Amino acid sequence: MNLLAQVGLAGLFIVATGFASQCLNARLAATVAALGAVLGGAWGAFAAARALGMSAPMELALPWAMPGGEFVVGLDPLSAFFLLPVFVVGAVCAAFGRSYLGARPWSAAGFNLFIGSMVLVLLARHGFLFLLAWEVMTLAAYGLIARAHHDAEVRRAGWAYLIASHVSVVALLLCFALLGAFLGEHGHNSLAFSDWAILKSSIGASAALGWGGMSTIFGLALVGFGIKAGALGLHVWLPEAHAAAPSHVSAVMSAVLIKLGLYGLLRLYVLLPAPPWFGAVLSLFGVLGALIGIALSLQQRDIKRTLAYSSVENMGIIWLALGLGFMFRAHGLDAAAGVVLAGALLHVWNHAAMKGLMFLGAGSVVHAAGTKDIERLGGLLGKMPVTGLALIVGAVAIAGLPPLNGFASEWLVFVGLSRVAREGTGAVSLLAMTAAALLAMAGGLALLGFVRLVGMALLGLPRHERTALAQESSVGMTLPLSVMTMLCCAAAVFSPRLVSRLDSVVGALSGAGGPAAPAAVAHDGAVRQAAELLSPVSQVSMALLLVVGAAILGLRQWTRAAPRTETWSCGYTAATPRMQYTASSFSEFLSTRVLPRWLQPLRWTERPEGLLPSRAQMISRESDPVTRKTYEPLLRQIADRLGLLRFFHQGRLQMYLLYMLVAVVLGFGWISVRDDAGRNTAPLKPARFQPAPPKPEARPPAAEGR
Amino acid sequence: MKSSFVEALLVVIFFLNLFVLGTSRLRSTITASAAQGVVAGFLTVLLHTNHLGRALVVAGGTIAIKGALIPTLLHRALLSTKTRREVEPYVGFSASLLLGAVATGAAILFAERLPLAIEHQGMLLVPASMATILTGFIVLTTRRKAITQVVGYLVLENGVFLMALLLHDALPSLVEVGVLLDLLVAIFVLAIVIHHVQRDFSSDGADVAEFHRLRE
Repeated sequence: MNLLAQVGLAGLFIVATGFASQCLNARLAATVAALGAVLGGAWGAFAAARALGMSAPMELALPWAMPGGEFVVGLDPLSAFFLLPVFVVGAVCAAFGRSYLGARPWSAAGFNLFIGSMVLVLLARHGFLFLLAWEVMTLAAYGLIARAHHDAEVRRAGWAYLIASHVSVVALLLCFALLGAFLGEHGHNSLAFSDWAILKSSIGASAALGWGGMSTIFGLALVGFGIKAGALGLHVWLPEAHAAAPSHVSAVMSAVLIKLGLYGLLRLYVLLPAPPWFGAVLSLFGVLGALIGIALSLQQRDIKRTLAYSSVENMGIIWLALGLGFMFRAHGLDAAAGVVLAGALLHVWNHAAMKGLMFLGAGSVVHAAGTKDIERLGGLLGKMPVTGLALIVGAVAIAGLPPLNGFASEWLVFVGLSRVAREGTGAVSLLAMTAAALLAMAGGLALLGFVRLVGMALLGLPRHERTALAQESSVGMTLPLSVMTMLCCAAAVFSPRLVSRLDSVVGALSGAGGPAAPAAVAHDGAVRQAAELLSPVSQVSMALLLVVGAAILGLRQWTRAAPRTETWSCGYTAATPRMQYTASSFSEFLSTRVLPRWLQPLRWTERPEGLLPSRAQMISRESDPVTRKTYEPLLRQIADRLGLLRFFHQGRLQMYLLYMLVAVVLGFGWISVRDDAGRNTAPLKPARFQPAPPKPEARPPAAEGR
Repeated sequence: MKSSFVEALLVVIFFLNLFVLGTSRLRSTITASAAQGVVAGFLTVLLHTNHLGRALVVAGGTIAIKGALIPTLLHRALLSTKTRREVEPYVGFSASLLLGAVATGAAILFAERLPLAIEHQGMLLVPASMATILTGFIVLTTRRKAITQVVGYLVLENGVFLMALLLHDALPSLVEVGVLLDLLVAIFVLAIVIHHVQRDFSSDGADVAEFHRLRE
């Protein structure tokens, strides 16, 4: 069976088991659905991994009775690159969800549908089918996010997600419609992806569309896909939805769903000739996302919000690296650009693994401690050793520290940037150095953020009674967590092999962009170089992992004999858990002294007055500055304007009928008037095409003289 | 001769439109709308002599439903809901009549401009159907009782039925669908009777004006 059929059937199998299992009883159904996702995911992942190395893309057209649509699916390395995390993370999270949510067959079926629709998005090769799958994916995710809809915050998050997603769909619809209309004029089957490539292969067609047309199309795509990909400014739904969704769903959303926005952009970039500003805008979004995302992540009290903003940061890193890679390639620095692109792509996979791990770990913590508030957690490492260890591994990976996979990909980006700084000239070199400095700053902040997360949640003493009762989660949750942990470690150790699998994807991206760029020339050797660059990293990772693993085991043996006593407290005997550092106090210096004012959390303080102790309080509330400063005022204004329409909403049947009557009468009237106008102007029409009468000035001057 | 008879029947329809708007008694409006339905049924037979058997079936069904079943149900509903026997309009009777006259004039003016098939041009059927549709709308928007809503809908539906007669040769099933619409009206009436709309929303007769309490 060919790989395309295997991937497609794996996706179909996942969805089908989800729905078919509904005829069983609830416990069995949820188990069967999760099992289906695991088996289908494993099958699909193998097929996708093999498809990464395929030489020629496959396409398959199936009969479909949809007007204007064609069921064209295809598989190429770019799709396979994104399919792999969809299947792997999807399978692991489905298994986790079975224990996390318990016997909820419809949620399991919805989850499977969500995975399956993402597979279809990646396989679709026709604009219509793509949008259809995109919408199914959006709605399935909405159903999962809004599962706990009795909670007002969850409903709010669901709305935010739904509205943002539909703005995204509208932008994509416009983008595709513009492309389709333009290609339709030139006699092509307007929405099939294979015909979009004509814009690239024929210089005439791309010239006819022009710079402005291409910019409009890519601008709309940036908005549409950028909303999904959590680009800064368009990310407002992301923290809300990730915090509200069940943890395994947040894991899939953060690890895979937001990457699909990136896939959409890359797909268009490969298919169409991109405007020259594309790389620059991409990297601008990226650098803002990386810095502001991590700065906001540092302030959140909600553990899942912290992780969600960290996703904004990581997507920012990927956007930045991709945008820089495109820009460097345009300046002829092909080899270095290839290394940066390989780093960006590897980071997509690595982020999928580590963010999946972190969200699952957070889910396990939330399940055990019953709260998402970091200020109420604490001391969980002793109570939940597997979850705690997984969270530490994930945090080290996300912070980009050596033994784990986050380091490998970020390192590739840094090496590529430093190479550009050396080889490039003038502005390009400066740009690379600036980008490297800003990335390093984001990395430093990320380290701080994850020290805070791990330190507050796992170390110290429990800050709340409920947290003190927490116990390690069941095997159903710790096993998927361990699998993800293993994946992160393996991704670090085998990073040279992983990056060499990216050869054809980097090739596709390198061959993209301009209409005349020859594929597979530009990236020649870049990926091999990247693999060579990574081999010391992998050796160091392996050595460090072994040493740390041995140290942990040894430490456990050693500490088992040691007596447990209270922490030394300078002789003060009445120490309570309330005296510990809190998450807010940990990041207080950064958030009140370092960050610019508009990024700081809102705070109200009432200072004590007088000599004797009196009333004092401090309230601080973190909020997204983009939401607070931009969207809320804007949306409120729109809502106020639209409030005028409520006048028409009288609630009387007769009024509504009257509206219909008025509409009918106006329609009649318009038809009569239009016919009249048509009758009157009909004889005049040909006049437009007649040559204009000679102008008075054109008269011969002799006539004037008479 | 036949043509002038058809025209005469159409004039009756115009007259019944104005009568529905002008009368203050509920029973009269019901009877008038029923009479309009019966006239429409006769028109089916007169206009489609070439498919006489089929036209007879349609006409029979129309007359039975519009002329007998629905008025009977409506009268019964009137009794069982103890609705007051007056129409109670939002817009007075003379104003309604004026509106109806304007609607009739507009319908005739508009029908002249429609790009009709040659054999339909100059016929009164199209203006009659439009005037009836508009009258139905006027009744729907200016009367407040549930029963008058049904009557308004019936009148509107009569107009649609008349328009469909034009297409009887081209789309034979359309008129039959019109008969099905009548059944929908019957179900409306039954709903009023069975669900006792008046008990839930108003103490004095079924009054759709009270629905606005359901407004968000």
